[in-house]
Amino acid sequence: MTKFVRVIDTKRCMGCRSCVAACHVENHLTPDSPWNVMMEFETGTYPNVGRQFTTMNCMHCEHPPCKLACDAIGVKAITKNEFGVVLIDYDKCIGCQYCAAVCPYGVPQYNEKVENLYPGAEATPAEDRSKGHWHPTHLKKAKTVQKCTFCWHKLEKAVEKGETHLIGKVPEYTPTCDLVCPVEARVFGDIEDPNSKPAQWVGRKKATQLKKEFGTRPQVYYVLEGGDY
Amino acid sequence: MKSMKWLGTALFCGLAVFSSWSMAEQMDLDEMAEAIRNGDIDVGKQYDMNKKSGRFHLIHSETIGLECEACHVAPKYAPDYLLVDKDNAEAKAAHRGKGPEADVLDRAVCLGCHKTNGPAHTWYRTADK
Repeated sequence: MTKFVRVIDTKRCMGCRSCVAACHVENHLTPDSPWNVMMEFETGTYPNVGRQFTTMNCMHCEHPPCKLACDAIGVKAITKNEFGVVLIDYDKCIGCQYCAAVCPYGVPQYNEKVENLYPGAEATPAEDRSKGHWHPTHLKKAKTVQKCTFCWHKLEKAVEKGETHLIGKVPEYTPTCDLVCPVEARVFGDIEDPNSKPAQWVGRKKATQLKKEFGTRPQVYYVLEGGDY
Repeated sequence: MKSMKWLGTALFCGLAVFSSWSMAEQMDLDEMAEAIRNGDIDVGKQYDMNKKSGRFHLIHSETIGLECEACHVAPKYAPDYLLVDKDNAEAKAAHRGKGPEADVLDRAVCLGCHKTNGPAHTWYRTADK
């Protein structure tokens, strides 16, 4: 059994936002609907203060409330595949935003309109949908909801070629945000493989999930100051 | 001593009244949730977040009678509140003006009814930890 997870070490993260920028480029950012954001806040009181950086994207929960809400109203636009990736089908989405309302992490983002990267200006060559192959997850539509896909367009290639064992190990099969971190604050891979970095980080660094009280069982783990809770 | 006894009795009676009132409220909520699910209470089929006609607000504010402030808890999120849509929500809230119409929501409020064995649909499988 394969279960892909991401582990983010907030003790190493310095808030450079390389992962955020990489996601924007890789997944054709729609302004106002970023898939990967950097949370930043101060801790402590003067003079003993610190700055905390936490990069957040879809948690790809094992019990995704977004999917439950979508299924409950019969829309069924959200799926969770056998690799644990939660995806939204833009063709089925009716834009009701119930998924956004129930997600404890505020992940699904309603796309009021699909704008060019530079609103009001012509589309850049990178935005020209007539050129190159655009994955369905990148064909964003107005009045639908979108979110991080764990770079499914890359993982899917590994699945098609029967090379799932290389996911998280070679660049073409690894989510782009996890490739660009200059301080190795994030890793991606199969948690069921005891030799994978995510499995080792979860065990050795005591990585944990955010907002566990919601019972969503996220597949994104965080190494937090103070360890598990 | 007499006043202590009186205080104890008053507290006991108050607690009894409060617990029976809470139970009645809970039963009402359970029945109401069941009636909404069965279609006995009509909340429409318009699945959107529109405040006036959308089913979401019809259920929570009109049918159940939740005050706006029950969910729209603050005009701004706490600095350490971890939410991907935080900036968007705050921008929208600022655009509309502070107050109960803001888009700043605390999902912990939803947990009360939408947890495992809660009266509403189970979005949060809290028993599966």
